[in-house]
Amino acid sequence: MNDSNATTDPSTAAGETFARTVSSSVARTVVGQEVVVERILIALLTGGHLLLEGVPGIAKTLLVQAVGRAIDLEFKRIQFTIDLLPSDIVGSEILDPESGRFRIHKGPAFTNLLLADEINRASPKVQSALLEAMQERRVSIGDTTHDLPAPFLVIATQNPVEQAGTFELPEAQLDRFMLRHRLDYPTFDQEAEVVRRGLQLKLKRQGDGAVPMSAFDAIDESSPFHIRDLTQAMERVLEVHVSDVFVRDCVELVTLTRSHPDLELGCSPRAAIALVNASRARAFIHGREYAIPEDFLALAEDVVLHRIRLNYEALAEGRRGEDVLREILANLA
Amino acid sequence: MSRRSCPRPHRGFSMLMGSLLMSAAAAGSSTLDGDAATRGITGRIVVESEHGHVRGRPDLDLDSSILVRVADRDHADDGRWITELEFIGVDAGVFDLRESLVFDDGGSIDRIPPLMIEIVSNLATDAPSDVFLAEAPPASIVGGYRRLLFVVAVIWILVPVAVAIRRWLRRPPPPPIVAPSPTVLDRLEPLVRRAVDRELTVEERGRLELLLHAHWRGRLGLADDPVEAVRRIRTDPEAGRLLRRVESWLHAPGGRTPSAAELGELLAPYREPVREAAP
Repeated sequence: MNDSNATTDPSTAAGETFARTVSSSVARTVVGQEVVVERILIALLTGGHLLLEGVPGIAKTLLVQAVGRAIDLEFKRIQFTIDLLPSDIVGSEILDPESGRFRIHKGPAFTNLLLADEINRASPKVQSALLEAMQERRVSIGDTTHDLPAPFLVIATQNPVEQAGTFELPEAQLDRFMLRHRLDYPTFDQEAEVVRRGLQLKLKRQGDGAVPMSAFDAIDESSPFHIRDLTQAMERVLEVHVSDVFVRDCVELVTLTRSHPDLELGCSPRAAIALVNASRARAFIHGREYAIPEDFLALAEDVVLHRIRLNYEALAEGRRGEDVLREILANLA
Repeated sequence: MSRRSCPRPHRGFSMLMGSLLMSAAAAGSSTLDGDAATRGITGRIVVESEHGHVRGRPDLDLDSSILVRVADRDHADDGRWITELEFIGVDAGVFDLRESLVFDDGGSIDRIPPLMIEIVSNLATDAPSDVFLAEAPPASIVGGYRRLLFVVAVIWILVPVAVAIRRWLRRPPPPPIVAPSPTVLDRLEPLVRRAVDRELTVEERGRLELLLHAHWRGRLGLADDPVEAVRRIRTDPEAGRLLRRVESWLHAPGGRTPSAAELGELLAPYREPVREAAP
C-alpha cells in the first residue's frame, strides 16, 4: 500500500502504518484478500457499511473476525434465515421472574463489528430492522431507545449463486451500504497456501476429548490496535484534503450514471458522498494527505455498481453493470 | 348401337348393351335405341362395324351441332370393330351421327347404316341459351395452358436473375461523411494552452487531468480498464513522475498554482505532439 512521493505529513504516514499493520495481522490468518481488508478498513474509517458478495467458502467470516481482532473490536455474527425476527437482532424486553419486572435483553446488534451473514435470506422486515439500525445507529426496545456502540459497522454478505428462497435487497436498501465488494476465489498459489496452513492445524483439547482446530482458532489473539487508535485514525481521515477538482470528478461520475442510455436507475447523491469519503480513507491508507483520481477510480466499482440498475434493453443485449461503468469512466474526461 | 346419357355407366356394361342392341342390325351397322339425349349433356353410343373403327370428324368445332369423341375401342369375338362414342348435342333436333364421323381408314361413312339421334332441349324454344356460354378458362386468355406455363417459367427464372444482376450492378453507397472525433491530443491542446496561461477553471482542470490519464493510457498501450491503467501509469517512470506533479498541483492542500514557466515545462510533453501533428 505504498504510494511514493505523495507522503509528506507524518500523520498520513501513520495511516499507512495502521493499514499495513492491520493487514499483516489479518494475513497471519487469512491468505490474500488484501483488497477486502482495505475495503473493511475504509468502511471502519468512514463509518460506512460494507456488503460483501462471494460464493461460500472464501473466508468471509474469518476475514471479518480477523480484522475485528486486529483492532480489538467486539465482533458478533448473525446467520440470517427466513424465520429470523427483528427482535433477534436488536433485542427485546423479557420478564425477569425474580424481580417481576421487564428487563432489556440486548441483541447482537450491540457490538462494534456485526457480520450479517447471508442478509438476503431474511424477510424484508428483518432486513429493514437492521438497515434502520445501520442508518440511525440506535435501536428501540420497548419504549426505550438505545444507542449502538461506537464504532458500529455492519458487514453483510450475500451469496450471488443461490437465489432460491431469498429476498433481494431493494435499491433503496442497497444504497445504505457505502461499498459493495465482490470477492473472487484465491489464486492458485494462495489456495495452495490455504491448504498448507490447514495441514498445520492441530487438535484442540477439551477435557479428555479433542476436536480439530479450525482457522478461527488460529486467529491471532493479540490486538496491535485498540478502538482509540481507530478513532484517531478516523480523525486523521477527516484531515485528508479533497480538492475541488476531485469533488468535480466524483460528482460528474455519479451524474453520468443518471443519463447513461443503458441505465434505468442511476446513482443517488449518497453515492457521490460515499465515493468522496471512501476515497479520502483510501488516500489515508495509502499514506497520502490528499485524494487523487486513482482513489475514486479504484473505488468506483464498489460504490457505484450496487446503486445502478440496467434497463431491459441493456440486459437483453447482455450488458453488465461493469461494462457500463467502465464506459463511463473511460469517457469521464 | 346403344345410347345413354351421363352419368357414364361401367364400360363393360356399356359394351354389353351395345352388343345386344346391335344384334338385330345388319353386320357393320348401328341403330338408334329410341331414347333422346338432352342438349348439352353427354350421350353415349356404341358403333360396331366390319370396316374399322370410327372417330369424330376433325373439323368439328364449337359451332357444330354435334360434338363427338371416342370413349373406347375394342374388337368383338367375330372380328368386328367396336367403337364407343360420346357425343354432346349443341342444338336440339334429330341428327344422323354419321355426319359427324369418319372411318379411321378414310373410307366412306355410308358403309354403316344411319345413326339417328335426337337431341332434346329442356328449355323453352325461344329461351336464349348457348351450351358453351361460359367464361373462357384463364389459360385461353394468354393463349393456352402451355404458353401460360412457359410464361410463368420464364418469369420464375428471370426475376431472380434480374435481382442478382441488379445487386451486382448496384454500387455500394458512398460512406457517410463523418467528422472525425477529436483525438485526446486535440482535446488536450486548448486545455494545455489555457493551463499555461493560467486560465483553467475547476472543471477544465479536472478534464485536463483525466485527459492526461487517457493520453498515457494510449501512449503506453494500456487496456481499456481505467482502474488498472491508472495503477500502471503511476508506476511508469516517466508518466508516473509527470502525473504525480499534476496531482500535487491539482489536489494537494494549499498547493500553489505553478508559474507559467513551470506549467509550460510540466505540460511540454503534451504540447510537442500537437505541434508535430499540426500542418
